[in-house]
Amino acid sequence: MIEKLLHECKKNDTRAQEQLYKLLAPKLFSVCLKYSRSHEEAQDNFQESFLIIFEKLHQFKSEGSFEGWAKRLVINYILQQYRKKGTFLEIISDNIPDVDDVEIEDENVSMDYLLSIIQELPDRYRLVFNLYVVDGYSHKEIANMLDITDGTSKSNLARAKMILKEKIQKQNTILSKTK
Amino acid sequence: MKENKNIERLFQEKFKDFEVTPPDYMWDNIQEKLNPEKKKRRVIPFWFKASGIAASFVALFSVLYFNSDLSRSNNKSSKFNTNGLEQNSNSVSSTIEKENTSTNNKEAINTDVKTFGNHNNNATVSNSTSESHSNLTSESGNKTTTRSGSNTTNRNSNSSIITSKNSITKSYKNNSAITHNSRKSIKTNTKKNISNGTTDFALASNNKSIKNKKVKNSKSNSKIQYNTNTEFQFDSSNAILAQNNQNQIKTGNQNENQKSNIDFDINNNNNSAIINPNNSLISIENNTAVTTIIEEPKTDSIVLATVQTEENPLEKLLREKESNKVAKEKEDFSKWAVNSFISPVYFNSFSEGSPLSQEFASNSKTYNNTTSYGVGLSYQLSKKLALKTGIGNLNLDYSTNDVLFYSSYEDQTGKSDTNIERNRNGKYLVLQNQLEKTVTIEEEIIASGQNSGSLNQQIQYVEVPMELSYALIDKKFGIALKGGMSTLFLTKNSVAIETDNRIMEIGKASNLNSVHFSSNLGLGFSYSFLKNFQANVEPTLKYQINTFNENAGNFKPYVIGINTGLSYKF
Repeated sequence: MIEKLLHECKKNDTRAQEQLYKLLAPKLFSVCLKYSRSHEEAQDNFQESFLIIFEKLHQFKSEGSFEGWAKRLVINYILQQYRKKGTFLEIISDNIPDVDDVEIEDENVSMDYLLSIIQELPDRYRLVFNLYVVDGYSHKEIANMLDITDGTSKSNLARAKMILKEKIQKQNTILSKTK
Repeated sequence: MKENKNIERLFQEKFKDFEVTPPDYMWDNIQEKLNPEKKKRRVIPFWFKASGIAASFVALFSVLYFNSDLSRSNNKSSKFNTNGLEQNSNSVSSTIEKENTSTNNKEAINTDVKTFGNHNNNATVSNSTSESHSNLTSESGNKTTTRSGSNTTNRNSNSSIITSKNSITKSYKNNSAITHNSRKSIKTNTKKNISNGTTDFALASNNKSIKNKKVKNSKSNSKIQYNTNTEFQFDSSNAILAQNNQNQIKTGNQNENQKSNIDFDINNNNNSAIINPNNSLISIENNTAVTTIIEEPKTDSIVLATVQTEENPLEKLLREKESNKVAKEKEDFSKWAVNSFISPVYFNSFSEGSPLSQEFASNSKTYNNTTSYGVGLSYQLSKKLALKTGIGNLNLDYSTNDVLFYSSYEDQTGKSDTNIERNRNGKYLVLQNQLEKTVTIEEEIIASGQNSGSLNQQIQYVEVPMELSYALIDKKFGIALKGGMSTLFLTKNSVAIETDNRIMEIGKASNLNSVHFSSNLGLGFSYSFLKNFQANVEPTLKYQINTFNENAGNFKPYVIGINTGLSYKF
């Protein structure tokens, strides 16, 4: 089914393009939300990367999943943007703190909140955390993608986790106080 | 339930099925960029159509405008000097009659025809200036005659003579069209004469003669002379218009059978004599006299004519028109009154409720007073009874207090049951009643991002009232009862979130009717002073009848206005 849709999209069929968009948009927009600083930035990234998807449609080989391919394109596009902007701070941290488990009341953590604290992370931390934790890339892959060393990737991840943990715990204490 | 969770696992689980539908306009943006050509292609014909329609409207209105203006002014004379005519007058009348139908000015053209019919005559015909308008149109008609003439080359002759002298102050466009047309027709004539090779195309003038290049270049017998005060420029009609031109082109045709010389009696002196003295009023003037002759060689006819018509400056016409109007209005002395008013507007609701959302029905509302202003016209039906109408604006502005709002990552369109059509800013805002809010833990978590403020709704209308007023006391100081209704046209509709330090527009109300009515009841106090003036104070209650198309939440708005102003009777 998707092959047929792709085939029609390649012929610039507007209806097929819209169908494909509707199929992918929720998944890819959530990726953009995770990797971007804000909702606005996510929208910009989403729009541009979706255009690239349509543009590079013919490059897709029907081997892997189309969704995975599209998602990689989106992530690559966003990484590229950060590289272009030169917003990567070179943070050298030798001591990698070990982040323990976080004590939270699971049911009460809202997606809104989790997303907001991810977006608040410094750019590099956010990217590494997303790539490693949410999207399952290895440190080696991340190091390649971001043009950093494995160690930096690991250290960035640890930092990111620490920041997130602190924020969640802080929120927890606010909660318990109001109770 | 408390449990220790690895932070990685927490995020993994939470984001596993994380999907967010992007806002609708995203697809529009993408589609637009995907297929820019398609959009463009759609746009161009639309523009053509629109410009075509616009142009035809402009044309229609200008025709109507000129017609009505020109027909009002009389006593303009136009003279036709016909010289040395020997022609197939039937064909002339037939062609002219063709134009006739298109110009709606039969009289004027008929005189033309008569003139053409006279052989070797100097005829002077007095016409109303509307004729000059007919010339204006007949210029374009000329084009068609020219064409028809060339179509019937082998048949008998088709002769037409059209001369016009136009003085137009304002509308350069029309002028350019005229000159353009005449230019074209002359060209065609010339060409035809060339191809026939048997006729002389002569434009005689007062001592100055310029040979038409086109004719000159072609090896024909044609001879063209212009009689001009200033240069007649074939190629730039604008230049002609910018100047005060009197262009006369007389063209004459001779063929073998008719070798008699053609007299051109018109010279510059003649022209200036013919020109209406009214011309002095015009600052920019363009007089163009064009004679074109289309003739086929097979007829033994020669057509030669100059026609001059006069047009009055438009300014004068307008002035006359205006003075007519004033005179007319003076006849209805003191029946009419115009007034202007300004009024504070007190806006409130008869019942509790919120048109924005059921959730805010119980919230307190703050009604911000605004100002309304406008003009009115009243007509005295009888001594006591007057009919009033007018046009004014009406701004309604109120705030729903104690509204809690925060931003969500999800598009709230369709999720909340508010009657707000959200814009880009408002799409992700969750709006809640602060007073009824049940505190949940999850909400507390995001409490850091919550704000409290008020929801401000602004509605603007253009109001057209239609009221009857009955005078209870009709002295220097008067009291009247007023009743009627208003039609209100929605012009502004916005909903904004307002906190102490900022306002953000988040959309518009989706349940407002674009047109609604109000029933009005009021008192009018008036005080007459000087001869025709009156000061008015009119407190009026306006109950809004169908402001909302649905779900108004039992919100029954009314408006109290105190129209204060002056009226002038005439």
